[in-house]
Amino acid sequence: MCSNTTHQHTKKSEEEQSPNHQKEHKTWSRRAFMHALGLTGAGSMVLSNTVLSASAASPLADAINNSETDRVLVVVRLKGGNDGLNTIIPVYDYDAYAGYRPSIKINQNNLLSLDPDFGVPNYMQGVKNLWDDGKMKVVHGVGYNDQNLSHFQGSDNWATTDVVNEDEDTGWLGRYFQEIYPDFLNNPPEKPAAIQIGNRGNLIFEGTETSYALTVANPQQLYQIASEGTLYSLDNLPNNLYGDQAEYLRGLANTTLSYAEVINTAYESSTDGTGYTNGDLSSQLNIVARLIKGNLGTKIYFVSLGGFDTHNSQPQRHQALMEELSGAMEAFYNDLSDQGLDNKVLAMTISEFGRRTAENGSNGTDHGAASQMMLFGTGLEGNGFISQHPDLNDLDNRGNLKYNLDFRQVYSSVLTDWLCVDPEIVNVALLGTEFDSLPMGYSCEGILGTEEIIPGRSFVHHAIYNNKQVSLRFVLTESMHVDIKIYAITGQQVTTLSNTFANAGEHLINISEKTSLLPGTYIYKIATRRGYYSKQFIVP
Amino acid sequence: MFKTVKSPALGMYPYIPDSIIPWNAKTIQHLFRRISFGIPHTNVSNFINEDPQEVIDTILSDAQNAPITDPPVWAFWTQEDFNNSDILPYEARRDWQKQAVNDFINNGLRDKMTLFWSNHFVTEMQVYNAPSYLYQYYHVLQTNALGNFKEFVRAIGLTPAMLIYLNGFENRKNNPNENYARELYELFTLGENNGYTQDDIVETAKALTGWNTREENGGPITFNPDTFDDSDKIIFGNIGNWGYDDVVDNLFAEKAPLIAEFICSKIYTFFIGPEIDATYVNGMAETFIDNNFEIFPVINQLVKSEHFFEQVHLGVVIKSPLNLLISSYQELNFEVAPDFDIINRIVANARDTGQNLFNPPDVAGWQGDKAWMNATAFTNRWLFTEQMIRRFWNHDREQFRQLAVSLVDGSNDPAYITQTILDYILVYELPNPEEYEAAIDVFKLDIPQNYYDEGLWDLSWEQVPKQVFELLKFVIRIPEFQLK
Repeated sequence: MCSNTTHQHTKKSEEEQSPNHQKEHKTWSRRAFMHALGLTGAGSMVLSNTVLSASAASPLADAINNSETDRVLVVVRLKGGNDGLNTIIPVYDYDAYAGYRPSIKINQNNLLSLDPDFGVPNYMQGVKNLWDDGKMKVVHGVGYNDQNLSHFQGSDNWATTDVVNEDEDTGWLGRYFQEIYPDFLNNPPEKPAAIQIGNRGNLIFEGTETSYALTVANPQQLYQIASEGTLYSLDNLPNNLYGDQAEYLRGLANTTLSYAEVINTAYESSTDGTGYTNGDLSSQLNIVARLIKGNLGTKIYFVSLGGFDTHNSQPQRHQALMEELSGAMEAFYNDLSDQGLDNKVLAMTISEFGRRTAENGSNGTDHGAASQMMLFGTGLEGNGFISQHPDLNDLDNRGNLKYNLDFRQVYSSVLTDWLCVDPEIVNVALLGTEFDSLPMGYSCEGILGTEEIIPGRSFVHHAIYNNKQVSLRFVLTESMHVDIKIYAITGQQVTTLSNTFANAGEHLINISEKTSLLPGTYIYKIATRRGYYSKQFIVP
Repeated sequence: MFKTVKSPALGMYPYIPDSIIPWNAKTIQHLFRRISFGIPHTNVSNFINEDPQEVIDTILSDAQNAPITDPPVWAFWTQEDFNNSDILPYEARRDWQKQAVNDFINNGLRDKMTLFWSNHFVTEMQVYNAPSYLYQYYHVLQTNALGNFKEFVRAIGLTPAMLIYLNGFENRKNNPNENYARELYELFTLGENNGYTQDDIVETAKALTGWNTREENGGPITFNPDTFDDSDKIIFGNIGNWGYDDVVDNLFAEKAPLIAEFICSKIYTFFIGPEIDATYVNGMAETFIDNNFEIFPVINQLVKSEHFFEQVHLGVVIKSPLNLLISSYQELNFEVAPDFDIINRIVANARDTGQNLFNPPDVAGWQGDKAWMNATAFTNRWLFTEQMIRRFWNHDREQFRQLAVSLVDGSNDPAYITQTILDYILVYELPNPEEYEAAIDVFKLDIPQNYYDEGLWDLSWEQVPKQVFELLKFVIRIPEFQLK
């Protein structure tokens, strides 16, 4: 049976003639490259049979955590395509609205007014309260060009933001994390980068190599089972699909084991909030609140509520969903504000599409296009509407609402002005498309100080962009030998940037001047006796 | 016999053992892991001296001749009938989930295909609710599992489960509901945005109207000419007063190559792995079309081909929760106490690990591969597999000794025994010697080293069942145990 490994090697040379070889080769070299960079296989740290302990924070992760805000984003997915027209009712054009929906319209005397032009159904008292407290904004008419009416491609588009080619397989938050945790597999951050409550991962957190979100259904159970676990080495796995799968599973097992304890500690150090129901979203937000109150330090959470594909019996079904959304959201912010944390947490709804303007024959609505996004949080500094409501008298050729604002602009706003992410990284996360900021009420002013370096605590290194040139900045807390090499994204070493003894203090090397690299994405690797540090950068 | 492609692509030729892909225990395990849920360790030797093509022929003809599951007493019950009986609907649904798992175990490839199709022609029993609809849906899946795909499409769309689930029941003249029309093309036959337009969906929905009559909840859904949209429709450019059968005929007449490619890719992924070999799938699609969309010839060619057995395809598939639990049970071939309902436990544990049989999360079904795995799923997989092993242990400890004895026969070297058991259970060897060291350490238990060094210990020792038990608990946590 030992001979199987041998066969694999024998087979490899034969495979080189096969049409698949090209593809496999790409995979191999990527993995080999990651090994070369020290991005995988922290051999001594993750040997099998090591008793579990939470992994130490990498210096890089520390630097990032210290340089960022303590703000939190909660993404609330309304799965199945929420009917925006029965969520925020366009009172200003009520007759047109009612004309499209004789059986399923919300009657005017059943509305709670948000302002003279818009209202919510009277079963959404929680949302009404949040609005009145200045903790809610609504972005009207969100969508994108030629919106896809398939649930699956639609959801993928909202996750990847690739609305043009529709073939991207990484998510916008996955790309964001990939930028800030380039050595995630080897040096995961001390706290989970993102947590998704539930049983299924979402494409939104998918990077090229891994998913950056930990999916947790029950923090206590996770801890109980994982506390007996051992960590697994990522070394010496074969360079083929089997090796890739094994690496993925080993990496996931390790993060599960490592994070179980920190999550449980945060969870156990706080208690359930009051006011939550037993509903699906309520339970999820209760867990999220406990982790935030327990000071976990994770910055992005993802929760979801299903059942929005209301092709039939919409009035009853949608009411139940809106009651759950509304009540859960109010309970969540009451819970947070009891702890003085409501101004640190922004919640944002997403849904793959809105629904058809006109009702169908089954007391329901078919798949539509533009719809609203709702944002909640004290950080919004007041209620309000952003963008224009779609014209009910100017539908597209399928009878759907036309969009007025690209959903990616909301993503951009949240990344840039709420999470205070470096514009260069926002650009990568949103696949190079740039958007103007939105008047959401939050900003990063006064949030990020000038970058502070705490001596002896962390190793700061990052790319700086200026005048279409890129420079590498790093700060040494003590004098030492520093070897900096640059790699193409495909893995070949391109050049040596510097290989010399450097004094303690700040260093700035202009990569553009020193190397004349062609524009593109590269990776630098800094080798010191304290360790290896790598990160992607772009030559403009 | 059926037609196969005239000029098969590389790898489509029948598998003939050679030094690169020998017909050995690993190859036999691979075959059974992929076409069913694994093979008991005691049975591997039955096949090792046989001709692989003959072995597979027998498996395939067994699959074709596998019995159709008898209908339950409530197979055609309405809600009223349930109200007048002692059987609760949820019990009936649960019993049918158990029946299906028994079918998966007993009927090999045929009902592995039934499971495959339940994740292709997706419905959610939580939505249509009626147990009788579940049975009728299952019956269509099972009888067509290796049959004709075109007739399969025709039959599945008229099952009450599907008519309720994708709103065909509400799709009527003047009030069309597009849901089934869209998924018929997007998920069941063509693939997303592949050869149809939004207008085709709108027009197809009209042609599918009329299935709107039901006397009683849980009763049959029948065609009503009065609610059928009796007008001309244009589908794929063809004009006519099309109805249900015309939609299916027109679809297969106009889009045969796209359908064949889409379905064969899915079959390929299910049996071979997540990386598609486009040339090979083209060959499968050709076979599919040449045989008028008969499913069996495609499976026959695939399972017998060299490609199926190539070493690069071993161990690349992440087991589904059901696969993990059923194959753990099958491959170890251990017994539990007669009063313990292990099938019921498998159904419940799979549900809690993300696979509630006949109730996928949405109409796209379970995506499989990495989508099965996350922190919660991983911990549940560890937990439930370990609980199963504890059940074996509590029932009969000696069966753990028997596993070791039958695999190593006579050795008293703990390192060799440990490695043999590990290598039997996992597809490939572990990557690092330290990992074997850790496993050997577990296996040695607290028996002093000198007993091993001096050859005093052997597999007849009293502690051996416990040693194997501890080793199995260690093995099932190794991440590669999730691969097949």
